[in-house]
Amino acid sequence: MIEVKNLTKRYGNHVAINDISFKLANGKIYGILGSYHSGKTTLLNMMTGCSSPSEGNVNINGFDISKDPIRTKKIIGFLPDPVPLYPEMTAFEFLSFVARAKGLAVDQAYRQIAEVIEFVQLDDSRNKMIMNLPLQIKKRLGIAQALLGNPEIVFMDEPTSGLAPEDAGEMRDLIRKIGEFKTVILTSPDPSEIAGLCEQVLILNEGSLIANDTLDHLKSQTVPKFIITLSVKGDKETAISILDQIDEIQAFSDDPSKPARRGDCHFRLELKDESDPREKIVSNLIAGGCSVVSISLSDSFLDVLFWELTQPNAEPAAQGGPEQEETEE
Amino acid sequence: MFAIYKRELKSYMLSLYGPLFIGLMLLVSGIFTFVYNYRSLSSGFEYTVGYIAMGMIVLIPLLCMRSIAQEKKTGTIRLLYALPLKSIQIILGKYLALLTVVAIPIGVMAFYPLILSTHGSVYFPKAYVSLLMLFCLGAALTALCMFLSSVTDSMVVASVLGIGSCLLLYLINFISVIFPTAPAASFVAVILLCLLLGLILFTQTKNWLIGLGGTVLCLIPAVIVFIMNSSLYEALFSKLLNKLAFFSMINNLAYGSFKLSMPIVFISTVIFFFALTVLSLEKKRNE
Repeated sequence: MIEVKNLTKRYGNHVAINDISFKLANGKIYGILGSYHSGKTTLLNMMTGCSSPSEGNVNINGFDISKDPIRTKKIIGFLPDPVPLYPEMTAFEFLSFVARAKGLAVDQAYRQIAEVIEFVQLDDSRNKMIMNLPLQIKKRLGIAQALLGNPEIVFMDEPTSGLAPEDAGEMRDLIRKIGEFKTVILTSPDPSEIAGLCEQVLILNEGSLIANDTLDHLKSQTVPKFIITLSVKGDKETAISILDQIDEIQAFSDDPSKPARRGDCHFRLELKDESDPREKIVSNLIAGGCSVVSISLSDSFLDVLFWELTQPNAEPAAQGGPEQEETEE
Repeated sequence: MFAIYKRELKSYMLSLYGPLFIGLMLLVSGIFTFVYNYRSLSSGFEYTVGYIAMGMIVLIPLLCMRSIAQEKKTGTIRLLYALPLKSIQIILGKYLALLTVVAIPIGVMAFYPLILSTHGSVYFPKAYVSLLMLFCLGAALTALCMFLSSVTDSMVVASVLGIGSCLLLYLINFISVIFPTAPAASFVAVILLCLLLGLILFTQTKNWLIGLGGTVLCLIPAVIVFIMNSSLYEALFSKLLNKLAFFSMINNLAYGSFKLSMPIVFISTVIFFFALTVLSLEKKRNE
């Protein structure tokens, strides 16, 4: 059982995490969904003891991570993003270091290293220098180190970030396999990834928890909608005036799940009906001097819900997570 | 802690840093031994040790610069924070690894008096006490530079700060001479020192109570002593600075006798900067 109580993190006057409380039962895959700078990593850092909260506490299986960090950290594994690795070591040396630092005896360490190497399919890379490994293998190595010490709960910060689509798919399969015998808590800015992997989702927006519920329950409460996510390179005002003139678009706003870069504009468009106006949008934008970087149509309920909840003045969703219901009773 | 020590030591010895430090220290010691012992036909190795210590002004900061700054820069500090280790264990592992690298060339230098003894009479106790004090100096400078590596995530800044601080310690005798000896001047300097200590404690803990408490704890006896007997402040600051003249202590060993205060000063310095480094790591966790 993971219990987070009134967790707050302040950086000077900026509140990164604002009075968050929730309880999560063991044995599931949980997803923390939020846009960039919504506080996902800060929350995960505090839950794993990598960062101290300004207020509140985190209890994992009965241990308070602030008061008893050593015992608590022995029951958790953590994959940060980017994966923290020592490039001058081989994969095997790195795992040996982590195993020994986690307090495993030599024979136990070697046995567990062999198990995790086989589990995450690192056999071909075990004796290669980390600096020469591709990102996908580095992520697997990061997961392998998190699994050492046989932790009951594994935290993963954006485990598929930066991966090619096929590598991301393999990584998701691996996470599902881990979820069969461990509690997994992962973060992602991608609603479809959370919807495909997790049983329960916690949605963060600007440091506040705006939803915490099972996917089934959230799905039953969401009115089906059609959303287009659009990335455009060019003048934002021009793009907005073009989008304004397309009849099929009900409403649009900035896409909070994408990082704002110079010259890039990211939009989420809500459609009036099932009609697919993507060709029209692309041709109008190009005619208006904007180039389209990406465009995709989504009818995923979590995409829709995330979009609705992260709109300015949106009402927070009911937080009906199973554990909270039990507590209220 | 042993896992950190082993990883750090291996990392130093398999990268350029460890062998370069050992090689340059041996080169410096070889040159000075050749010039001051062989060419001058002197078998007193303790005179040479003072010159060898000068090499540490540059070499120890260069060895220590990556110790924590690099972990912060590459993000591996998050891995260390996530491991079931206390900050003190992480710092101790790192410090002992650095100390091992520092000890290797000094260990090799331990053969120099034996070699010199084949050419003349060597007073072994003095030669080996000098080497032991050279190691203590290395330990103190390592603790200082490791702390400086913990306050930044840039290795260049860490090395510049380290070289600057070591150079300041080398020149501290000259600075103490130019400082006024009047009791009032020393009193003002001591007050500024107390405020500086409070500022360091505050910046490392982000707790104004600790900073203020540290300042007040030092200020109260300082003020009481000044009110009761201000003559005690006569040249006090110059004397205090002289206590930190680490390099002079090594030089003076050749001309004077060994004082127990020497290792005590070095050990106190190690403990002080070791504690500050632990605080610095904890502060980073609280950020």
